[in-house]
Amino acid sequence: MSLIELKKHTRTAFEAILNSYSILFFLNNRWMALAVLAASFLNFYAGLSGLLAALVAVLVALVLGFNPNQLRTGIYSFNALITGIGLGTFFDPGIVFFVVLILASLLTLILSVAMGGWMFKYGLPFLSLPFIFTFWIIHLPATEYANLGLTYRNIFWINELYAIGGSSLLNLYQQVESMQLGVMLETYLRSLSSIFFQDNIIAGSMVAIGLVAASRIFFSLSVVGFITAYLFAVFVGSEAASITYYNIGANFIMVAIAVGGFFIIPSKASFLWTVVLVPITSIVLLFFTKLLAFAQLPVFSLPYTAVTVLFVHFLQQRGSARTLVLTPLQQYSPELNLYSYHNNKERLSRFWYIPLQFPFWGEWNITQGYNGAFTHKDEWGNALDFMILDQEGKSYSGNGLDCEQYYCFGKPVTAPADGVVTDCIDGIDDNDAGQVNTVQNWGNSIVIQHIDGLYSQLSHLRKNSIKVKKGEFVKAGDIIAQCGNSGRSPYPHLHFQMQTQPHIGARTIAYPIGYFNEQKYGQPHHSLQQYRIPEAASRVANLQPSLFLYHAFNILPDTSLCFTWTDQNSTTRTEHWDAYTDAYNYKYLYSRETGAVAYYTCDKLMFYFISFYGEKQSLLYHFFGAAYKILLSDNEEALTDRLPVHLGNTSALLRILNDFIAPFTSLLSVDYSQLPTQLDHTFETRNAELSTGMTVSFTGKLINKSSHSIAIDHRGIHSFSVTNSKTTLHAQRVF
Amino acid sequence: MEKKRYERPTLRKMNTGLMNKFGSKSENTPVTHIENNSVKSLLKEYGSPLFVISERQIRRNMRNASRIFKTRYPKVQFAWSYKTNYLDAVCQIFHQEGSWAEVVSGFEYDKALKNGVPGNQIIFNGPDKTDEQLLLAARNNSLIHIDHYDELYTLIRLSEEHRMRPRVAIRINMDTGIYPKWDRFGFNFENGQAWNALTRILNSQWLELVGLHCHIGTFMLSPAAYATAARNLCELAWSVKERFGKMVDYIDLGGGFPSTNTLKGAYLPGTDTVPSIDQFADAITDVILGYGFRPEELPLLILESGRALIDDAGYLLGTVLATKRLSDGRRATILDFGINSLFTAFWYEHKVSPAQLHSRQTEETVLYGPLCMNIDMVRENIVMPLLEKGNQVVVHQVGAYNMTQWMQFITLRPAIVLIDEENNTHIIRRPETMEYIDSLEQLPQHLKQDV
Repeated sequence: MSLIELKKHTRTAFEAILNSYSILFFLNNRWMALAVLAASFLNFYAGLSGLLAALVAVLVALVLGFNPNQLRTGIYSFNALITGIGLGTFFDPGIVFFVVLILASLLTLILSVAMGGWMFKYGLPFLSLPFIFTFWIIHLPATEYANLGLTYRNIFWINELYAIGGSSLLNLYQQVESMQLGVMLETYLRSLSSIFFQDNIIAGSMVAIGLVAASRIFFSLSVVGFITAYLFAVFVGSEAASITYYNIGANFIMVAIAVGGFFIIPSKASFLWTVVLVPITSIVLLFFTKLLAFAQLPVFSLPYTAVTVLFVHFLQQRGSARTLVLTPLQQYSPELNLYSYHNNKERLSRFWYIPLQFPFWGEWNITQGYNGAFTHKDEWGNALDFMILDQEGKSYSGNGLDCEQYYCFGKPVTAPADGVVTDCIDGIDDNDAGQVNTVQNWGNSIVIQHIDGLYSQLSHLRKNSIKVKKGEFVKAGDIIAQCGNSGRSPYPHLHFQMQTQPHIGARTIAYPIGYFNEQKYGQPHHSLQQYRIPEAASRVANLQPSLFLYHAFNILPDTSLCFTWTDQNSTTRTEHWDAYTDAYNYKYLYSRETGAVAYYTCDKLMFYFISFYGEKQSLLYHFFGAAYKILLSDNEEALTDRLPVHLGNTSALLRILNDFIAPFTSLLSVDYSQLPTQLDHTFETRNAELSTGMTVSFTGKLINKSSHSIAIDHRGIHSFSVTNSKTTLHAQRVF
Repeated sequence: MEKKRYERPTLRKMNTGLMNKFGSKSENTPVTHIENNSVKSLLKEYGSPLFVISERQIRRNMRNASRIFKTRYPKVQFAWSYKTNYLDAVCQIFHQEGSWAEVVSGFEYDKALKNGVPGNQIIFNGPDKTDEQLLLAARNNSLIHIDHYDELYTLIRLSEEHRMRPRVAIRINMDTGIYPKWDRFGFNFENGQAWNALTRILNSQWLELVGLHCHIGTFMLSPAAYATAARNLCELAWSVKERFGKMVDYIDLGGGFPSTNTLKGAYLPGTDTVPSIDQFADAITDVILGYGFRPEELPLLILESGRALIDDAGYLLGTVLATKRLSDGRRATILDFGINSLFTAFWYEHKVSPAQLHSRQTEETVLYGPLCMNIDMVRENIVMPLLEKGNQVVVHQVGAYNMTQWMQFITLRPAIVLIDEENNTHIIRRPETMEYIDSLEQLPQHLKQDV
């Protein structure tokens, strides 16, 4: 193994072990990890055996060649960690103990991987099941191992404390313990510490502080879970049986965190369900306690695991959901999940659609929209009819008795996207104006297949105008026919619909148009629309792409961008960004110096960032903000968009405040805008200047504003600058 | 009730013989209002004669032309031909509708700049460009359309001296089968001059070839000629692409689309014979789209149409000064405007309408202007109702060229009024005054009279 590889593996192991601590609370946060790590060492041998068990699990998995990226999340090692802490808490250290510990750790790892392999394909988590099973398996034979002694340290653990930190730690402990905290707070903190088998206000406080620092939403949920459990126990009179520190911590608080904020995007509904699920967990808990007592097995966190897995699986059975949405991309922070989800819902909900363009040139009017008044009914409701109208709203010149007088008649009809012609009918006569042909309803028509199961149909085309044949490949914008008046068409118009079947007249589906200008009925100006279904009676036109801008922003995978800039301390700094494509075909920029990652996408008309992970100090973050969304056209309209709250330039205090109420409403908003692009010339463009801006508002009041400009020449992006109250930065590309 | 008008008696020759298919009577529908403003009140307020321009009609023409081309071809740009009418108000309407500026002199270039047109949206045509003007245009990123070799070499020299690389096109003349053949502007296509000039440009590191330009004539009545022109330009573009691996960015087919005015000597009225813009658009776009360019490399189509977009938005209102009978018995009517204001009377048989109600009786008459010059004749022969002194008339389709080619000759030039889309009137050029004429004159000391 080379040194570099060794270094890489050491780093993976280090991160995996650290993350095992924070993932106990569903977080990926250094502070939380350190808080839990430190708290676990308050019971020294327990802490040590936990660390050891995690280490064994990670190293074995690494040597056996498990995916390092998955290992790094801690997902395969955190059960070993709890098992280790548990064993360290209940048994006396010794040579036999450590052998058993290592065996238990391996067993947990095997169970984790095996259960992961089985459950992940259903999208279900195994939570602490491997720990529970391992512990059960160890628990029963343990009495037979004569050389493995049960410990009393967890009863007389103050001795332990004295051994670690001497009298000063003991004094601190006694001071804290003697503080009048109130029953509820004390119970809450002790419950948190009991998650790793302690009964200790200091450990509980460390976890609580770590929790607030890492996630405000989890903290709120832990309080909600705690109070609900307490009130329910009082209500049914089961305090004695169900209310122990361990049960509150490892079952009720954990179920609140898992269901209320981790597996579900935090919301009013998720908080409400938390309040419902905690009592259910309480019932399940008592059931398991009675049931497992026969087998002399401890219940541990089985109720929380069972309820959470069950509920997640329950929710999975819905198709798409508007409420209690399961976290689509787990970022191990309820805040990030929440902010990204809301932002993605707004921005990327149409990410999967192919960008369709209108099947014509110039401005046309939508004379019948979706579910229109004339013929767009029922199964054929999701269709658009287009005509050309003049500024007086007339569709023809002269008396309108002749098809030729209609502006749209004979005008080119173009392919709405790349595809293959799958059906084609020509040879049906164009009707005289005012007549309809109900026998050959669709008239001359073309059906094009764009992707599997997605077809477009264009109808009422002019007789003998179809320029393509069945099986022919067409590119977006190719002329394929002329607008006509065949079929059930009293006046020349173009009928356009999307469908999932290849035959003419198939049932229609709603499908948006990619990017277009739309002048809504009765409004004086047009506005830029993105992935929308155009409104009836509006006047619409395609956008013209700018190849110059496209070449600048179409950052190809396996290329590199390098920028230098001078920071506040007047030192010249450099950052390299490498463009890669991941296994899911998403493109991203990776900053070599900071490790920050920004996912992007680019089509002929739009470049935009999908997400950003990493430090906000990195230059890549500044570029992410400056080029968040760029229209690759010299369109005259400004473009606006929204950033997820956590990626805006917000102050920490407001952000924390916002986190607390974010599940219910967001007070912070981060808006982005791109002004119309300034090209030095339409022809042989040599340079272009893009101006964009980002504003942060709190309850609608502007609190932070930054403006960016990006300069482009024939080589591509050659510099960009960011100006806001804190930073003035000008980064120059090194070619 | 209005008092019944007296109308002078008239003698009409009895026509015998067979009926002809054109019927026997000319109707003279009076035009009493222009866009809801009465002719009478306009003349009363602004004086007679008076040019009137309809903003609504300009916009309508522009939008129609734009629609006609843009629904047939994916990339179209109009450039307003300044020489057709460079009144600031008129230019601004076109610029608001998205037109660039097409200019043919330093004066027009400056005017376009003054109108706020960005330098990169000005097309500089014509054979007359000074070194200073070329430099200014190059610095402003304007499109310079080279007319002759002398200009080509001058521009190469200037660009080299000033280390610039202006964007240029060449103007090309060709035989499109129409007469007269305009071969005095640009480089000839058939004899290889155009290709030669293109080669020089493409081999020069100081010029950037962006387009090809032609302007085959004016008041063209044949769409086929445009098809020929478009095909020739496409051929050159294709050759440039094949030989130099560079696709030109645009093809500029100039202007020349006719209005529906009737040319002198035409047998039928213009409204019946002039092809519609649709026919020209079909001819042009069919050729370019069918030539074989890939969709993404299709050149932008530039049109510098002038006359067809403005002619019918302009009216000239005037008053009858006198009527008389000529020696051969024909009736003559003298108006208060002549060829000094209505320059296009040289080219067209303008439609002239009475501006008030008359009886159905008509007579043939000559329409003379007020100048004391024999050439001053508005219409040689027109059938009009029985006009008398003080009656008002409206001349139609005078928007193109008159307000740029008019002369300050014998009389002062009249006011120009714009009727906006809400039918409000705005004076956009005041009538000329003695002070205006005098302001440029200087009298040498020895000629000054002591008053």
